[in-house]
Amino acid sequence: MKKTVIRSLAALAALTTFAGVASAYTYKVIANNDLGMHCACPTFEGFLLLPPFNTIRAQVIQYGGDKPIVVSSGVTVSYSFAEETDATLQADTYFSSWIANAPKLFPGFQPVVNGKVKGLTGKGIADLMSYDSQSMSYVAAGVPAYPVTTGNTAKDIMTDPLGGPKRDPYLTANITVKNASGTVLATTSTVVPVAFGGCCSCHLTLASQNGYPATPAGSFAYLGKMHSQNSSGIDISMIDPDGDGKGGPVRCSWCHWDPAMGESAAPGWPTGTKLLPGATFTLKKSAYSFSDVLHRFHSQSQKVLTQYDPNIANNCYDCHPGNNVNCYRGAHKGKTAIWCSDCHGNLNQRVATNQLAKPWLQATLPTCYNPSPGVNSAFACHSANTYKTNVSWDPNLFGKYINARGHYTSVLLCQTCHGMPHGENPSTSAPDNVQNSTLQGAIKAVYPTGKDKSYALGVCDVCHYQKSTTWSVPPHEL
Amino acid sequence: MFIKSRMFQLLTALALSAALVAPALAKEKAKGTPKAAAEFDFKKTSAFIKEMEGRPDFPVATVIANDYVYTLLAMGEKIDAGRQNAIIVNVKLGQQKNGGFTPDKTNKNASILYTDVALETLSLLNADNAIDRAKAKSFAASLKNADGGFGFSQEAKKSSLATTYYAVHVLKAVNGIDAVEKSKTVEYVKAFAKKDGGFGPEKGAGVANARSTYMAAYVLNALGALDEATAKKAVQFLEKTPYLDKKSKERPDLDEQLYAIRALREVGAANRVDKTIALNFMKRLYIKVNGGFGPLEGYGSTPDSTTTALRILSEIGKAKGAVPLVAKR
Repeated sequence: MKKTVIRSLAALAALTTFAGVASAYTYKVIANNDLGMHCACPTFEGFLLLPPFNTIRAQVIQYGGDKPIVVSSGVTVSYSFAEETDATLQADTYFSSWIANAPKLFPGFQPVVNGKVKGLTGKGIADLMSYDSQSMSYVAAGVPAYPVTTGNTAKDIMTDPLGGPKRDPYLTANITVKNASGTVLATTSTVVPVAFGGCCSCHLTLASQNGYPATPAGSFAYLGKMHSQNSSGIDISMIDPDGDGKGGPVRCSWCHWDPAMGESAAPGWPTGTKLLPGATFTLKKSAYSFSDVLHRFHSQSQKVLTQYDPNIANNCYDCHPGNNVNCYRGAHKGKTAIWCSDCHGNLNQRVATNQLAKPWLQATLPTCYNPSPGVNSAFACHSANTYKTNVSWDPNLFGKYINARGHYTSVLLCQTCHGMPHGENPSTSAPDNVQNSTLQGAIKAVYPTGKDKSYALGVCDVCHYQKSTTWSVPPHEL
Repeated sequence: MFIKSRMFQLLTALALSAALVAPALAKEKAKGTPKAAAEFDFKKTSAFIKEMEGRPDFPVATVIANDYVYTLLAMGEKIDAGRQNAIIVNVKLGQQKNGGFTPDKTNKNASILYTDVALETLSLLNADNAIDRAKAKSFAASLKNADGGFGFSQEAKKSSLATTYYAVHVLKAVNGIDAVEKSKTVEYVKAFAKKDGGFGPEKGAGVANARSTYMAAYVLNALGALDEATAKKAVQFLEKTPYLDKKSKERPDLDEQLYAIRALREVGAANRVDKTIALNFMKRLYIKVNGGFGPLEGYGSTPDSTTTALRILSEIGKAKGAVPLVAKR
């Protein structure tokens, strides 16, 4: 009952009349997370895989008149979180570790400014979004969203590998569009997923099995020892970047470049980095990407295979968020037995096809009509003739589904209609379906057998005033 | 009066005997065919494992095929002839010219690990002779090193306890134990013994774990070299793990639970297996929604962890089907 009321209010809000410009028009906003799931770590004292960094995109559509218009100016678009505020973030023990260590990991960066938490790009946990002409959407990149304990057991599904209370990995961003005079034109809510990976789950045990404490510090120390056994000879736990006489915090991408950090080469160690007494190695930079070394090592190490997981090539959730969190949960998962490896390749294939030498690139990622190059999927992909992608950009970070637009004059992001990658509509995770269900549910639409309002947007009247209310596959090309 | 009284006594004695004998008989009957623990809905577990049947490339990979076969058989299900054949063909395609097996049919790098998995799968399907066993033996034998251990593959030659275990396991399965240089291998394996009584994955300092303890005990047993003192020490180590010690604060691990049970069996202490601890742990890993088992408490289910859980339930007599009588991995 409560959910129904909230959804109805959201639907009404999404249709708020914009009296300031032209009373004939209403406005709608459709927002999504860019990737469908971002990773977070529960501690930042030893090393950093990835920082808190989430991206929200919202397309504002003027509804009414002859044709809908994708709004690019004259409005302000903002976001805030239902479950998270500046105060809750700063009170969170794990996020406090980020606040304490972030300036060491990203010299010059201040994670809290005037009492407000800031992400790496300066975005807060509640902030304005800026218009981006390539994606034709309002974007907030680098939002410091972090999994939170809400107290609602239905939402707090993610296990904390360090033994703390469970957390909610599917945060809710509330998006508000206002005109110049501050009148609310439209609102929506979207899921902002951020979850702990599986690394700690294995490495804490690994530390304990090798005589180190089963703590982040113990794991860091043993990880350093293991790292020193590779050709670099570097024990990362003996690197002291901030000169405080203790090992860490180490940013992996200082040595192993990571496109997710915006890098195309390793930036190297910060000035003043020291080695702890007893260290016998010298610092250097690796030519290999972080993605490359991590995947290659785990898929080829006979220790990993014989002592931990002989099937790690197919078990993506060993490392990626799977601890009761389904990073991959979208329409592909719901309809068939398609696995991550059908699109991306299993780890052996990814190494064999040298995908990881250029990770995160459009050229090495799957598209709607092909798996990653060199990968033979067991399933047929979508037809390239039927579902053309018209405009794409940024070949250096993310695939064409994320960075592409289509539909008539190529004004809509793929994900505006289909939802976020890995959580496409209809998703197996209910929160992912709320937005489309609200938009299509506000119209008395007719659906073909087997489809409903949670599907990808296919009811023309959602955007086109007084057009068809029968769900169908809209034209994807120009 | 006297006769009546005697008859009453006789009837009472008979009734009493029947009452005493009945549970014992029932217990005996239950022993023969272990019944599924009421806590687990194996119909759901079966559906979870069978999800992979919908894949055009079923059974996908060597380990996944093994998961499918073991889990279904452990739950007392039959695998239809078509799927059995698909699995056998898939496994055969994984055998390389050198006799070893690969992680999947698209991969050409054979290793002792996947050879062991492949052989178990065939054994479970009573299809041991579907592949060239002599070649499998020569592959395992080719991994023998001067230190008495065996390597992972012909490319990754370095010995380890785990790879030595897999090699001995494979050689035993293909009647090739004669390829082992007994004294050297025994010496190699014994070097993994730890002060705490068990065996560890690395030589020298470090701590023992149940997996390595099982692996070492298996090799020593297979070579007829498991002495009483080693077995006793191993039990002493296992007594301190969360798989026997109810007060242990260590977080239990699914694989370690399985190997703790196997290690106890291997050292002749099967009666020390704490079935209650194991069953309670499996209950905590069980995912009611889909019938699978997670790798850790609070985690989602995977086919691999579900299979390992079924191996544990088989070992403690809580799986629906009989424990598959094949070489244990």
